Amino acid sequence: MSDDQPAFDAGRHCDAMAATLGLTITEEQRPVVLQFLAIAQRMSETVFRTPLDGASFEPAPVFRAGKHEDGGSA
Amino acid sequence: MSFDAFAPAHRIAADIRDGVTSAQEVIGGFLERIAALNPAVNAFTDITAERALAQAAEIDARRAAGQEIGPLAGVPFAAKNLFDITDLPTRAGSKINRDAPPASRDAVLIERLTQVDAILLGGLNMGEYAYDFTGENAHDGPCRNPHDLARMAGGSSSGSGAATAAGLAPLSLGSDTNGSIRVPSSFCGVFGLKPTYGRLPRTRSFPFCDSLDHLGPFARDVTDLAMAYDLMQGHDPHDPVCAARPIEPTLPSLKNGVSGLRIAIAGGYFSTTGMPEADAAVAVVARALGATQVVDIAGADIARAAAFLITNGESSAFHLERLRHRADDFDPETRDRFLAGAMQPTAWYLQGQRARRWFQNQMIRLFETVDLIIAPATPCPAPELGQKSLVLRGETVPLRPNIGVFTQPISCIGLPVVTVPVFASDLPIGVQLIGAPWSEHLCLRAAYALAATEVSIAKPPVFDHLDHSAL
Repeated sequence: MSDDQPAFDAGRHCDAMAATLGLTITEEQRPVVLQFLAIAQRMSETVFRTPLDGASFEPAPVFRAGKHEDGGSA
Repeated sequence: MSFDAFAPAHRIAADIRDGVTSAQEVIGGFLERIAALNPAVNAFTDITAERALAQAAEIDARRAAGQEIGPLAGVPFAAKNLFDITDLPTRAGSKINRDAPPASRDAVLIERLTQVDAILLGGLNMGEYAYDFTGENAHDGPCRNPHDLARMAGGSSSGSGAATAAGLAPLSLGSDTNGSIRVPSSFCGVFGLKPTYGRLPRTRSFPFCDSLDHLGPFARDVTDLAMAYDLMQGHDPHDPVCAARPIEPTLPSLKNGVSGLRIAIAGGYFSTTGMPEADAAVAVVARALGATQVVDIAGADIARAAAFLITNGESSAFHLERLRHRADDFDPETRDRFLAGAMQPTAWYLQGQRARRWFQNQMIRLFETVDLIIAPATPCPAPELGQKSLVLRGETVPLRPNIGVFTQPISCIGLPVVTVPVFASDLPIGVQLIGAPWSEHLCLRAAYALAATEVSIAKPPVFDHLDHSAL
């Protein structure tokens, strides 16, 4: 993530994503939702500091072709 | 023989096998105790009394006929209510799931314990959909800490910690995604094993976050913990994550002691400065295990952030339809976190997965020089119910996302951990014994050594001294 990236605006992000996903965020829920979006954004800054090789890309979820009985995920 | 709610599971099994008592007497005693104490503790949400009594009668009949009975014959256990239990809806701490049809078959781990003649007493309270460290639940009421009923049991396997501590079941099953076995073990003062990711099959349990979900046992006795764990091991093809490894029993080496093991104390991120109870507990355990070397766990903050983002992304996507259509039926304390998680960018999630692999590589290198790492399980003993914030190293932070600050980096990469209890006062606090992948036997060996020297013992709760005579 570049340093010159605009500051995260949890409110705008919430408005756009809630509409996209079909979620209703009530006024009562909104402050806590924004609080947790802000925490997630700070967590994302932390994980983007990981000194990764640019070619490393190994999402952990397991998928194996075939039926369960073969050890696959069917 | 008089009923002893705090007898270890292996002794209960031996007494039944030897005819000192019967399975029906044992189960009757525990059901009576649950009826008396559960209204205060609120650990059980479902009690499977009819099934338990029928199974106990069948075991007694088999023994009387001279037929074989299993190694846990007549031992009661209970399971967090995200495990499928035949004929019950798998509520997973939620209101929504109660509308689901009842399970047609037990979860694999319940089946495996039942096959060795352990007896299920019921389903246990938990934080909604396992997104919780407190044990509070808007639908079923809070599970209360047996050592102080005004305090949290810890979550999300709250009922598992509380039932085990309170002598309502000598064994219980829970799940741990970010700390949900280790936090209630710490707050309730019992032993908990979170095995290596992929060790125990999760088949027919309700998921939270597939990349991080683990299942494991709680007990007040380390032999019981090892015995239950050994009897639950084995591959199951219906959990794609479950490793196709042979059963690796831990009981044969349980009493081998810690001589020769390289045991270090986690420093840096895991520093307990400003956390007096955690600091004292880690020091007591380190001294007893002869550990003096402090190792820096570089990248633990990254691993914790990765676990947070992976949990957010997977669990919220899983619940998206429920969030769209039944948001009002969620526990408000979990709903708003799920709503935020649903809106998280995919790139944050995937960077969390990449960071997870990076941290694993770091830790594998560290485990070339050490066998076990000692770390605090929680930053403090059980907070009061309803508490919303926590002072962490002088800074006031929200309580819910921070109770698991020491557990989250470890489960992020699936390392095996036994949490051991330390009682500095009436309130316990747990210490993690962390091993390299697939080294549960070493974690259990160290836990056994600590129990044998009475550094770590699961003390009966104080309220029990008052109530026990009436039961």
